[in-house]
Amino acid sequence: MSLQDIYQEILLAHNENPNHFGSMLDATYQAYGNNPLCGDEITIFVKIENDVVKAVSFTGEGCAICKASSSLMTSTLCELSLPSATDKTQRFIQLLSDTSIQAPNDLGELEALLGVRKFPARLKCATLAWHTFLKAIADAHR
Amino acid sequence: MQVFNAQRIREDFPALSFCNAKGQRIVYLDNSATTQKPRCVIEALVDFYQHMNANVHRSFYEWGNRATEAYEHTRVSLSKFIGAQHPEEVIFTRGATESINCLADIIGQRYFQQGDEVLVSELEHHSNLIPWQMQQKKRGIQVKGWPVDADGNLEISALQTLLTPRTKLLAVTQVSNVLGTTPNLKEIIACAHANGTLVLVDGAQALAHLKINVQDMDCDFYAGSSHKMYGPMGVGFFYGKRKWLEALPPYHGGGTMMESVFMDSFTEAGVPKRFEAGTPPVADVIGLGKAIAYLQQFDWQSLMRYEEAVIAYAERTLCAIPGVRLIGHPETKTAIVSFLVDKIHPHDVATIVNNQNIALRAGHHCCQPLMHRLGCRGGVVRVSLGMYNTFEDIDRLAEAIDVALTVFKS
Repeated sequence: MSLQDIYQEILLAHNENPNHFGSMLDATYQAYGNNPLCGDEITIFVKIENDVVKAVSFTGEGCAICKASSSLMTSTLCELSLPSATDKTQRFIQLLSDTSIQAPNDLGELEALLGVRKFPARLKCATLAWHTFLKAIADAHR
Repeated sequence: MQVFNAQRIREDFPALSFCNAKGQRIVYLDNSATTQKPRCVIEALVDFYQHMNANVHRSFYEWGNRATEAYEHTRVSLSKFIGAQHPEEVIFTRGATESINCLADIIGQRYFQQGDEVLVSELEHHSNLIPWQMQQKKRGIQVKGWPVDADGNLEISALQTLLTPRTKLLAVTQVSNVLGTTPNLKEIIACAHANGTLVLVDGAQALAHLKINVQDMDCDFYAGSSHKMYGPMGVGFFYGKRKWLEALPPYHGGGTMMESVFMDSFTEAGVPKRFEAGTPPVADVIGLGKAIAYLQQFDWQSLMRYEEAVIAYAERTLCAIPGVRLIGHPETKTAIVSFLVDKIHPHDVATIVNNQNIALRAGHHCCQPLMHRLGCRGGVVRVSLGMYNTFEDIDRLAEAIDVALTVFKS
C-alpha cells in the first residue's frame, strides 16, 4: 500500500483544478450529500434533456479524493443517456466497494480512483459524488 | 523536576510495539478517541473469564462472590479516584454517552417543566448536546448554547448573561476533545449554583490527564468513560451527589434495580442499584479498576507536567512547519492540539501520516457546532496524547507532515 496508489498525479491535478466546479442555474435536478463523520459535503447539479445527461457540476468542500472523484464524474457522465449514466454510476460504486470485481479496461481516467480500493477508510470520500448523483436523478426516473 | 519515564511506560502497553510493513513503530496520537490498554488491564479481562466468570449480586457460589467483590471494589476505587464522598455516588454504565443520556432522561423526568432551559457549551461533544436536544423534543424545554470565543475559551461573563431563572441545568465539558480547553469549572459551577442551576460535567477527556475532585469542583453530576482512561471499552460511569441520586427515578427497568415486584407494580431499589438494571459489563468494570490502580502508581503532578511539556512541544513543532495553522488558543488546556495544513484537507493529512504508521484523527470529532464556530467546516486534524507519547513521536509526526506537503507539492 503506497501513497502513490491513492494520490496519483491525475487525482491531485483534478483536486487542484476540478472540472465543472460551480453551481448550475439551469439544473433540472440537484442533491446534497455529506459524510457526517468526516465532513465532506457536496451538492451535485444535473441538467437532463430528453433523457440525456447534458451537464453535471458540483460545489462543496471535501478532501482531495472526494473532489477529484467529483470532478472525474462530472466529465464521465456527460452526454450519456439517463439509463446508461445510472448504470455506469452504480457499477463504478460497486467496483470501488468490492475488490473481488475485476476492473474493466475501458475506465479511462477513472482508473486513477481504483487505488482507493486499498484504502477502505477513504471509500466514502471516493463514492460520495456518485451516490449524490444517484440521489439527484432519483426523481428523473419517476 | 522528576522525569516522567514515558519510554519505560510504553513497555506496559503491548499494542504500542506494533510496527508496519516498513518497520516503522506505531505512533499513537488518537488517545481522545480511545487510549491503549496496559497489560494488567488486558490480563484482568482474561483472569475474570478464566477464574470468576459469574454474575454479580446474585450468585451464592465462590465465583459469584469473587466477581461481586471485584466489581464493587472498582466502585470504591473509582469513587476515591474522582474524589466522591461515597462509593454509592458512582453508577456504572456502558459509557460516557450512555451516562449522559441516562442523566438527561431521569433529570428531565424529575425536574424539567415546559419552558425550562438547559445551557450547553459550544465545546461539547455531540454526546453532551444531543441528549439535551432530545429532552427539548420530549419535554418542551429549550436548549441554549454558550458560545466559545475565537480562541476556544468559555467566558464566565457570557455565562452570567445567559443564565436565567429558568436555567435548570448547565452541561459543560472538563476538557474539550478538539481544542483541549480546560474551562475553569470551579468558577463556572459556583456561578451556576448561585443561579440555582445544576451542573453536569462531561469528564470523558479529563480522567486520563487531570486530577479530578468532584467535591472540590462541586459539580452535581459527572460523566466518564473507561476506555479513555486506559480501561476496557464498553463501560463508563456517572457520579451524582447522593442527595440528587436519591431523588431521581430509575432509567432502565429489569433485574437489580427493583426491591419488590408484583404483576402490576414494583418498588425501586436504593442507590446505586436503582440505576444499574441488568447484567453489567463485569469483566470490563474489573478491568477499569485495574486501569485506576495502574494510574495511581504514578505521581500525578509529574504525569501532568510531562503531558504539558509534550503538548507544548507538539504546538511549537507544528507551528514551525510552513503551512500548518493551529486551531484555537485556549488560555488553559491539556493533551490535545488541532491543526490544519494549508491546501491539504484533514482527511488527506490523516491518510498520508497513517502511511508512516502515525494514528491520528481528522474530521469533525463529533463537534459540528464547534467546527462551524471556528470556521472549520471540513474538520481539523487532531493530535491527542496519552501518557506513553514521547517527544520523538512528535518529531515523527512532523516528518510525516513533510511527506504530505511533498505529495501535495504545496
